[in-house]
Amino acid sequence: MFAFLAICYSASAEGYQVNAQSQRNIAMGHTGTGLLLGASSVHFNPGALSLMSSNFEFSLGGTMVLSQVSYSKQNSLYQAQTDNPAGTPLYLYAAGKINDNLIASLGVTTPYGNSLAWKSDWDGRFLIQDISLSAIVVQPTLSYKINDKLGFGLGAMIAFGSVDLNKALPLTSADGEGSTNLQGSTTSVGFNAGVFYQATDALSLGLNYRSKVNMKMDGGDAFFTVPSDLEESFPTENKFGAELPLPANLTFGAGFKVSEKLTLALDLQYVFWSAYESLDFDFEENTSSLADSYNPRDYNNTLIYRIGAEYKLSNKFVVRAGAYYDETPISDDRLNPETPGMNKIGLSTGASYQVTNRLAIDASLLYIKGIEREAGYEPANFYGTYNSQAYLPGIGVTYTF
Amino acid sequence: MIKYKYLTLLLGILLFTQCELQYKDFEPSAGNADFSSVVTIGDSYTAGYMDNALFKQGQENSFAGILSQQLMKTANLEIKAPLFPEDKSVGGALNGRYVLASIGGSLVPVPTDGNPELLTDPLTWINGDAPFANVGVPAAKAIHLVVPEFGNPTLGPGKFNPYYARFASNPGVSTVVGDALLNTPTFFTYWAGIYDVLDYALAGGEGSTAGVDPGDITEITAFTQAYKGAMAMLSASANKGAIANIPAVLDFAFFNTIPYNGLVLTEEKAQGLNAAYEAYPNIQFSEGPNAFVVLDAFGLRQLEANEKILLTAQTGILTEGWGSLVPMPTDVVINKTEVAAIETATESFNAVIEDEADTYGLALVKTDALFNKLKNGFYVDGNAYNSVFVKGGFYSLDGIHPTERGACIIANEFIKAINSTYDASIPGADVNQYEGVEFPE
Repeated sequence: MFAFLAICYSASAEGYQVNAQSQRNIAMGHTGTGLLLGASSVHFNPGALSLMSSNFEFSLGGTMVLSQVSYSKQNSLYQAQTDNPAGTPLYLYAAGKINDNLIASLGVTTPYGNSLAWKSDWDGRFLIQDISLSAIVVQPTLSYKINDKLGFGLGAMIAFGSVDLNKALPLTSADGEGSTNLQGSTTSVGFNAGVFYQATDALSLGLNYRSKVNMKMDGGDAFFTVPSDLEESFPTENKFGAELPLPANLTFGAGFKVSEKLTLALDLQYVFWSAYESLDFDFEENTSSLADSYNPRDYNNTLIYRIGAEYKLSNKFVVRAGAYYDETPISDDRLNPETPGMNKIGLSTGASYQVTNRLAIDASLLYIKGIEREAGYEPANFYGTYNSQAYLPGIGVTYTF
Repeated sequence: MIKYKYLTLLLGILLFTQCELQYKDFEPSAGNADFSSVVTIGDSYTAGYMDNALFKQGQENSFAGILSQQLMKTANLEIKAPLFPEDKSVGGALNGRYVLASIGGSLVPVPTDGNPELLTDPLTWINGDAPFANVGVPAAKAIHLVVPEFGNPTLGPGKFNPYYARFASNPGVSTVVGDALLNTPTFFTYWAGIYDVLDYALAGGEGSTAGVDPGDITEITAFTQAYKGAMAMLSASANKGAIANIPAVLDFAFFNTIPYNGLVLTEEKAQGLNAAYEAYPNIQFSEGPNAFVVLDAFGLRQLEANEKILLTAQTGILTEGWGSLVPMPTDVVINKTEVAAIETATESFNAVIEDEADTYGLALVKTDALFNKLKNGFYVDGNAYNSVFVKGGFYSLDGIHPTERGACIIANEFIKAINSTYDASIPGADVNQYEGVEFPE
């Protein structure tokens, strides 16, 4: 596992959301809003945590994101593919009972991020060369058991976000093409609330709302490399402001215990992507050659359909499988190679092995296939066919007492 | 234990299914067209004249050169162009290729030392290598392409076009269209007519509006006859081709870099000029931008909004005070009657061109629409283009001819028209692979 600060994330879900928040959940198609899967409920549904049976639970894990995107230019023989760095989103959850009805917990997750690297001389370089976007969310949470069937939980999400992107500028000298690097970081807050209801012995229901977190950045650093005679038009120590919304999520989940051994799960996750209207860079110092940059995004709200199953093979060994269908929030004339979205199918599997009474090892493997899409970014007239796929092997531990 | 086996199988499938990342492949095809022998005929644009000179890199990356590169992806063919030697250039005034230089804090195009011998010394000529398939000749009018005098060096300097004479199959006898036909073409592009109006505009509208001499707008009957003659000859050999119409030449950066009201004055200077022109109450100055003063057929007056100033007036404005104390000479100004003459001629020439496209069922490339779009600007593959000189990305340093990227945008218009007319799939050229304006280091 890599150092915590060095992690970077890859777009493994639509838009720039990353759904790899717990091995057990990943293995079941990233369901869990209507399940009691342990400490990961801090993220999936703080309400469910209130019905936790153990006194203390701790869970930690990481996932390796190996993703690739291809681009086949419209009406052209040109093709390109990304050379993305392997992403390693991590998660950490700890939950403990304060008394019979009240549970305190903490989650550290990486629910948003995007790490994409096209070759620096590729055809879309004036839109994007590479981008690394990440948000680490720290979430202190309290859950309250109203009665044996009903629980409620509320957490504060403190998001630490950063962005670093490069693109080429069409200003050439004998030294080569110009470029710009924009980087900055910011902190913002939101909340995560959930209720959980054990309707019958077999059926459990959950509803979770994670609010929008508006990542507003001031004083980001803007660097420009341009031919020397144009340097005056591109001030060297320029700053920029920008805003990126991490969209709200409303998830309804259900769990159904078919038998002592088999549990089925279903999640419907509604993502309020329409919050992402545009990505604007407001430069502190504008010149005749450097105007503020306005980039419409116009995302649409989407629904993710998830199903999962868990089967207890023995007291020590649990296997899981799941699948999901993730709709793209991006319309056909707003598809930018910086976030090349397309409808995606995820297939997952995984297992937990109880090493001791207290310690379990959790593993998962998720394969995501993007459904081929021909579209483009109309404001910059850049069209083509995109394909993508990703493998996400992950491992984690759960400690309970 | 059988369950373990299923699990292992499932994991195995997921782990070892080496799913290849998919691409969407483009399948080039010639459709109903036959690209086994292609000729490209025309003027500076076809030749690859840019930065006010002809040179090898420009020739190879003219719209015709780029189109040829793309056609080669559908067929095994060679399109032979009359290339200059590496690193040599020569412009119409025997200058070298223009480069941008930083002078006194501003970027100005300046000519390099050229290689005039490429035009003036017949020993450097390449007539023995004829015929060529790219027979674009800088500054050629439609009426030139079918007459042998156009390449006749015995007429003396200024009376023939050395760019053609240097590669003509038989200088003084052969014609441009005739040389194209020596290739027994199966497909042709023909883009002529720009210089039939542009030549007049470049001379400041001093020539005849219906003539056949240098500086004239070509007389319509002569234009029609030459154009139709070329089409008849070419179509007899190749019954498929693409012809392009004429853009509004006055939209070129060359005529729009110095605005009619580019005389920017302080209050004090405005008062001084008002005093100087006291005897002419029609001439008034105030603080801010003012219309330049000109002396022409309409008398001593200030320019109107639709009138144009040639880019070449820049030096006179800066050093001689043209347009303020000294009236702008009439040969650097296109006045309103001249503007109207150019527009009328362009319209009638385009009517002839469109008629011919109809008659022979040829692909018609509407470059007038492209250049019109350029005025407001557009994006191609993430990069913005407009008609602004130097900064706009489309025009090279002469303000008339395109950069490689501009040429590529034009080539893609040809490709679109050919694809749709002949049900072909010629791949588009990737504009970002080509060069734009180069700034000093």
